[in-house]
Amino acid sequence: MTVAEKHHSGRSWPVRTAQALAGPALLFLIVSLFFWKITLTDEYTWMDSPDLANQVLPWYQFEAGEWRQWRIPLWDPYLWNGQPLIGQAQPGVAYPLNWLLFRAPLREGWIRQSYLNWYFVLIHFMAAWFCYCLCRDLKRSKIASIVAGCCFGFAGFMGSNDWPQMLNGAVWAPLVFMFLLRVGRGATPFANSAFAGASLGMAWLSGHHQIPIFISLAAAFFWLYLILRNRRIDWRMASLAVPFAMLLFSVSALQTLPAHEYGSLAKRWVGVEDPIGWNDKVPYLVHNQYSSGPLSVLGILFPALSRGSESYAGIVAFSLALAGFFACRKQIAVQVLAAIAVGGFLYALGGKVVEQGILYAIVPMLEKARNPSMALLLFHTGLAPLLAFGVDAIEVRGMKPLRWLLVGGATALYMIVMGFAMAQKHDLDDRLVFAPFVALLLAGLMYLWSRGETSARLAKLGILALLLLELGNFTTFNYAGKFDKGRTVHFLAGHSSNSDIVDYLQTVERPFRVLVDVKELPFNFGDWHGIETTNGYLASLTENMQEMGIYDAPTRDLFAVNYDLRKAPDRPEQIEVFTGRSGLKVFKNSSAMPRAWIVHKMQKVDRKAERPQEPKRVATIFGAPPKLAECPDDPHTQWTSRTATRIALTAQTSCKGLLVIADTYFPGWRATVDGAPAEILEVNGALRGVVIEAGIHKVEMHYLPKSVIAGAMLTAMGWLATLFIFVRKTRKA
Amino acid sequence: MAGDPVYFCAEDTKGMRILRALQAPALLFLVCSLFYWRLTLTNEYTWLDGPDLANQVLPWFQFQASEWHAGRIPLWDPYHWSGQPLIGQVITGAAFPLNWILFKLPLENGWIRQSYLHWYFVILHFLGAFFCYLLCRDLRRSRGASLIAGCAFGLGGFMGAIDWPVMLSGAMWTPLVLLFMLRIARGDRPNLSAPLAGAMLGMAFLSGHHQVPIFIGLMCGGMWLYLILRGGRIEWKMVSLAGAFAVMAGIVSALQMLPAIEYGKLAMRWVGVDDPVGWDQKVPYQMHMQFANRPISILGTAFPSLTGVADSFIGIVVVSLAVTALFLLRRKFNVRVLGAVALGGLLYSIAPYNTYQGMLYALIPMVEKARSPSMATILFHAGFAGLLAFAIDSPLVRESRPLRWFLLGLPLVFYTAAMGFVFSGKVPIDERLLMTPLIALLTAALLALWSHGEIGSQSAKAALLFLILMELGNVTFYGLGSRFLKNGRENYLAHLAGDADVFEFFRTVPRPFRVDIDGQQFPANMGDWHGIETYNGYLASLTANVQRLGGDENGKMDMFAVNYAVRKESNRPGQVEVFKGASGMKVFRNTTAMPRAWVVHSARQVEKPEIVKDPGREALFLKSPPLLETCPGEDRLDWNMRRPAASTLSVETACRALVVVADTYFPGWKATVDGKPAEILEVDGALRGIVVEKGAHRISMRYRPTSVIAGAAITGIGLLATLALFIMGWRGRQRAPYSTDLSKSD
Repeated sequence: MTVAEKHHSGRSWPVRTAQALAGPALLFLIVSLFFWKITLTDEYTWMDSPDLANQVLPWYQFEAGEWRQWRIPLWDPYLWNGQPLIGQAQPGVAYPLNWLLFRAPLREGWIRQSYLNWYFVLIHFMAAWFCYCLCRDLKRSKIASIVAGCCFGFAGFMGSNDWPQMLNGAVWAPLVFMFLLRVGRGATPFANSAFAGASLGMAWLSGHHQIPIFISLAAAFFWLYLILRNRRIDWRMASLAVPFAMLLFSVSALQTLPAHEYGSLAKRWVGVEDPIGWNDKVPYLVHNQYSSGPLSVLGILFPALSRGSESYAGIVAFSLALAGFFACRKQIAVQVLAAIAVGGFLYALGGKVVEQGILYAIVPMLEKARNPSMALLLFHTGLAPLLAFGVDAIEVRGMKPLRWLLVGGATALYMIVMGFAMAQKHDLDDRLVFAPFVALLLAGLMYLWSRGETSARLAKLGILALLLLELGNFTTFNYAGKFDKGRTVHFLAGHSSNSDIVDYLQTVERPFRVLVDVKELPFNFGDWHGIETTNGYLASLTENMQEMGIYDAPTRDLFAVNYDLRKAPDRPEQIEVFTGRSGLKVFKNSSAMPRAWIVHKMQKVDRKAERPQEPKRVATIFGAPPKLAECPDDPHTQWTSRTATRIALTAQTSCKGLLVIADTYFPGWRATVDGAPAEILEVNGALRGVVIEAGIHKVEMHYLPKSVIAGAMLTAMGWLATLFIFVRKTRKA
Repeated sequence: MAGDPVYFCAEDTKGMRILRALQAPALLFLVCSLFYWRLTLTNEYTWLDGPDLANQVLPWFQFQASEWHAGRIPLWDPYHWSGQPLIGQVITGAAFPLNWILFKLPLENGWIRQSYLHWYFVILHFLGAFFCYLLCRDLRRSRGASLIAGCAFGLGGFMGAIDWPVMLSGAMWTPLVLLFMLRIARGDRPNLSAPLAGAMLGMAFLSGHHQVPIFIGLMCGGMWLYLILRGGRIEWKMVSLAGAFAVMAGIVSALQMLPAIEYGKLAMRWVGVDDPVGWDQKVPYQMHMQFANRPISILGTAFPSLTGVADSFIGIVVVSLAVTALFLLRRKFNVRVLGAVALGGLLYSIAPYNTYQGMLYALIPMVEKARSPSMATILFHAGFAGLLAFAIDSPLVRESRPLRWFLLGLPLVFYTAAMGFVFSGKVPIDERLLMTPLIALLTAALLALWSHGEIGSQSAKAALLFLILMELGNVTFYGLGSRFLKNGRENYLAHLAGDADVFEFFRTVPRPFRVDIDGQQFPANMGDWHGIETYNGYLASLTANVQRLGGDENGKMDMFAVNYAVRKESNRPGQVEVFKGASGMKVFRNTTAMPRAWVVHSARQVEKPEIVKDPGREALFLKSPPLLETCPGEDRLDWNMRRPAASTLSVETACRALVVVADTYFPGWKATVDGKPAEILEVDGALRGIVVEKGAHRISMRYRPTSVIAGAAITGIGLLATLALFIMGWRGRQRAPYSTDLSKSD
């Protein structure tokens, strides 16, 4: 035991804990300050983009509302006549960090922007921290690890992508590779294999499949390498892949099982004209469309040059990472990280790299990740730790070619800029003009360091300062400010407008359903205001709804769409009932069916989506119809309660009939009639039907799919197993 | 050690020493005067012909000069927006001693003289140059090098590009603050230097614009942080010195700062967004982004015309020499500090591209009020001017081959590119860009000759100064418009001289009266310029009570006794044309306007400010109203005296009543009724009201804010203390001229 070790082991646990927490605490401070626009002012938001404002924010608002009622939001009744929420994956229902956000106090029923901002910051902190952990695990110094953490947390994918679901998946990448590298080093391989699987499972839980697919692909290659690195199958290593796979499956089950169930019964819009089903491949045309361009190579150094996802890491990070690779290239970890980075970058080029096409064609499910450019996450996952190697390596600070490259590159760029200036073309992206300045500062710093004129600690802090200076021109640079006349926060502006119309609709007797003119209100009005609508902005839709052709008048009537929200009527029988200050009007559709009714006749149809001609009297069914009785009847239904996942009503009929409820049919809904289980039939193409006998009955339905129950149990088991292995490993250590 | 040999000083007589000491400043003054030859030696050009200067600054100066000549200190400006605090607005420069001298200089037919204004402008630049000279001398630089550095600072960069005198008045103190801060860092009598640094910062705050002093304050904050923590732990002695620094800055600046804070809290400021912002509201970062320099201004430090909001240009000679000095002499502590100040200023100025500036904006109180980060270039220029002096004195720099190769290579690249443009024949090039390589070429030649000993040091320095002035001359007054140039530019000063017959008409109108002047036709502050009370004006801020009452659509102008309008056409009912000027401009009388003062017997409390429907009958209060009496009989009211900051009127009423005066209510106005103190109430949202008992009374009001009285007393003490510290410092130096701990210095 060295003197230092003795000294270290002699420290009390509070001192050791404080030392261990110092790095993450400093990292948290840096992250919070780096995102000063959203943490320290109320002028900016990260949410002012179409997808976030129109889709994600309304989802979060709905989910927060449900969590405040201690209900788990599995079903979304407010869009498309009701849709599975957890199955859509993207709403992030199954991700624990989101639960914390949703349980945070609301302000007058609304999710608070400040919490959303801190949630966003927390995601980036997690990314930076996990990368810090990876670097520390690779024996990098604390400062170098902080630098690398900042690089991963702020640059490239993490810095440019604003979809929280994707970010939530991406943050786990460093941990996955940290544990896999441990497996490769032979350090408690069983436990680390399990931890790697659990980390990847967490990525899958996050709510978007794309990034987890790329991490899984990289992990698969890594396993392949581990199993075959001795040029024959290493069966021990192959067996170690088992705990990885088991924990991956188990931990992710709460999201992946419902997603699989939903995916099999849904259609997804992927960028071609028609939506596609589970068994249809996402066309390669789409992959090509969402690939990075070769200009992304330069985009690593300069902001705003990339197509698709941003490859940007900055001159500081890239040059030092490159130098770190050259200095430490004999280390296996460095080689692996470089391979991950290069692999990720090449995959991101998509259509320009034939090998990506081959993978698309032969690896199952890979086609579902339609945006290859997002594989740049792997590039940054590999690059950031290499930066830590660059910061720590003694050889790097004395590298003359690096300094000359920085000075020469900056000079060349400034000559180009002067050329533009002489031509009086001043409309260059200013950030391109700033980058060479940072390169010069870095060259100066490296020179001073190489000559011993600055201490290593100061030099590393200088590198951190330059890195943040550079990344500040990228990560938060384009946040929309409320005072920016050129780019007003316009996507969010609609959310608070038309409050008079919302107030009116809140006075209407429930249940009712509205068709919203999406040209006027492009955001998911239903989720945002808690109003059931028959349309919405989603990436996918249950197949039965999709096939019904919801926008024609008979279908709208069938789905009990009794109100329209638009500027002018689109059907002659519509009656104007309210005009808002904005000019938007509420029309009542007098021909709409009620939300629930009883029929005594069923008709078998050959095509599932075939709707009945007389829905008040006859219901259609694809398959064998149940036997009903016909009698002179004055049926009656009365709603007793309605929440998102549970409905109850009383139904009265003179003889055996079918109670039709104009909500989307989907497996997982269970019914009871007077407390006894009853089958829910898919009737009229996409509605729910329950057979009831003569008399007065209490009919209840609730949504609790087996996929969710099984998924929740598996995930819980996965977490417990991970915890168990961790505790055991710690005790052994 | 660079500088003049010491043994000469020992043998000089006192008179000789004084003469020698004055030699360089005199030369500096001569250089500054000649550099501004367009202003000092011709009557063709003026620095005043810009929109802000002509429309706002010049009328303010005219009003203040008139007041000083009448033996009054201009604290209140009655001529705009029904009366506004003048000193509280800060940017009027009412508290800056140098301005007082300008205002007391003889007028010409009642008007402030343009020649004095030109020399005032030159003196501001001279002071900037002189203070930078002192900084360099204090850093043991030679006289020649210090003189050149002084010229670079005072005539180039921020000082050369900005024409707002109040900003220049603040900026010129930067080198002195730096001088004393560097002394503290070197351990050179820190007990004296810390309060003196604070005093210099206080003088900058006295100048009349908060922006540059805030940046200097930030620089000091950074330096103090370094000084306190440089030992790796908190150095408490430094903390106490920082306290002395802060106290002294507060004391010296009190005359400006106290009224400014009082006014700021009660005013709204237009910062560039749609709505004005109050004291507690942050200036949106959007404005900081808008008023920041672009990264191309990094190149703009060496090349003209690549400007941002505030010009970063200081020339290729200064930049190349300063950068070389920074590189070669980086082990010198002073060089490092100057380099850090320069880099910090440059990075701060490109705000949106520098995330740290945003953090400072968000974290440090009051920084947000300095909405134009581009002006932090003053720090860059101060740092680089100091580095230039080091470069000139260093043989290492002048003999640096990479420097010469750079200066030789630059023209090669530039002229090749220029020929390309010439051949293409399509692209217009700013010709000043092509002067830069020529000057670089000449500098390279000069350095080569100097390093080979083919020219003497003095000749070389003179030639260097020549080249630097030639380069700065392409930026500093490049945009000054000749009065003979009629096309291609707007003549802002012409607006002030226009429609003289209309304003002559108002001399015949009995006072008091108040005029609504069409801002489209008269963009300048004609009220201040002609000494006419107006209802509007071109200001950066406005008392919140006037601002929140809104526009005229609800009879606000009538309530404010706006009984005349100057415009081309009538714009409201009840206007009667009473005069038509030669240009077609007309004077209308508003028959519906209230008199300047009236008496009411009824008062009512309202929840929020609103325009009173019948101001002659009742008064509105935001607080609980005073008890008034109603009675038959007419009230009588006469004005006895009206001055900008004082007025007297006689009133006679049959029962207890409220006298309403249609001037802006603001704390600091004090009233007496028959010689006894009386409270002034805020009536009808923004007017003044005084309760009088029945009978005849004499009401006097005068503007004597406690903030100004206390501020003046504190500043007076601060200035005396500063003087005492200077004398102590000077005597100390006489006794032990080289007591500096040079181990901590160079």
